[in-house]
Amino acid sequence: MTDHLPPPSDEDLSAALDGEADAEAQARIDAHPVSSRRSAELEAASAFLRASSVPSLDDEAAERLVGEALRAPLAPPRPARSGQPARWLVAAVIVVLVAVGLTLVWTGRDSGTDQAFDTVGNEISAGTDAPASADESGSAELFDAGEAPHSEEALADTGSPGPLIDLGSFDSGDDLREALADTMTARVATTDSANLSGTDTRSVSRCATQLAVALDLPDPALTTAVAVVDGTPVLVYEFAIESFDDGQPTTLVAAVDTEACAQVIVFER
Amino acid sequence: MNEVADLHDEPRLIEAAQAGDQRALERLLRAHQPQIYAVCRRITGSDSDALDAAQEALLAVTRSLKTFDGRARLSTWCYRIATNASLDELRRRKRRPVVGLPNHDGTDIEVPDLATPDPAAEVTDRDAVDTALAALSPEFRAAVVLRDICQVDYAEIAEILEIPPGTVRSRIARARAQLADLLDGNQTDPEERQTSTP
Repeated sequence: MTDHLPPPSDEDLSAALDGEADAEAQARIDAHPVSSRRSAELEAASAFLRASSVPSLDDEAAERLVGEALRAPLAPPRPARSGQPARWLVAAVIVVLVAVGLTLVWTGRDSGTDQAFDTVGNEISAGTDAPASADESGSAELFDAGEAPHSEEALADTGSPGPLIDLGSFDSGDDLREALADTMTARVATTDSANLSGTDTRSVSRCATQLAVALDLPDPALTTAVAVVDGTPVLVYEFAIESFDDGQPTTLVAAVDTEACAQVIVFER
Repeated sequence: MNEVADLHDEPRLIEAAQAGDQRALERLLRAHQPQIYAVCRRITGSDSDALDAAQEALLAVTRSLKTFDGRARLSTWCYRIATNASLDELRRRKRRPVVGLPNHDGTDIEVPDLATPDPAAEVTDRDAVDTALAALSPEFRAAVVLRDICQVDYAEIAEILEIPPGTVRSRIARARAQLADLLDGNQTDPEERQTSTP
């Protein structure tokens, strides 16, 4: 029986060091005693970190940190930007829109679910001013987010998605956030992108509109993309805004699920 | 004296702080500041960035305390805030001109003699740890710091980092594997290793 068990991986050995190995992992470890050498190496790495002392702050520095924190109000009001609603109102609007979206999904979208979705390129070719380099096959164009090739007509229409890019797959919302911290760049080539070909452009427009209304965004999305987060398809948008903190021009990045347009991540750069 | 040991009734302190009791808030901040700083110091890898991150974290704890609902432990919540503040600091650092960061040049790192503590060696040990951790991606670094330095279990790390438990296991293993490669005396042939079970 032990002959059929594969050798334990670093993941198995590392989890066993922490008492977090499941029964299968432990069986693999027990079946391969030679793995003890590798286990010892991983244990040494762990011990190396555990044995190091983190220098504690001197009293003066600790006092400064705590003192500054104590001077912060428990719930500082964000100054209301002229023309921008309070956050609670935005949250309430989002809840209402999500509920409306869910209702539409459950009751009125059956005409779309059994049909093949148009590719993004076909939508663009048929209905909007497409970037000059969109090819005739209708496949979405790969481009760097910095180019933002939107026509004036496309910008005037909040719902027009523009060319989509494929950001690829991520384990978590945090991983997606990290990847988008500075810019939005495609990670999957157009020809390999199953995500692009399977994207419903109506969801792209619908979610863009919902976000723009819910967050009172003055301009349509600069860039739109698709990604998969922990197995769930999401739509990702960049909007040009004035920062809620200091009013300086910045970019709002928002990712929502494709069904109800519920937020996965939202942050300012 | 360890202030955490005095917090035998932390839930009442939290409630009082949420109601506006400054003394209760101060006790909570003083109790959790060392752990918050430790996380920030190890994730950011520098004293100055750790101070900035720790300050942001303590401010966030103060501002957001009213939203703490008690479903998780306060320490878990603080670790999450500290980790996010540290990762944000690392992102900000990427946008700044950087001078003097500990970069790893590929040479092995000597394991300090843990059996014979030496005050002078303590500084060298910390430098070696900073250098080793700097070689890891921020995501791997956060996971292995929470596990090996803060002694947080996998389920709690998953909650702190908001990732699945499997991803926690993977990141810690890969971080340790990278550290093992960096440490002096690694004997196992890299080609013989499996990073994950097929």
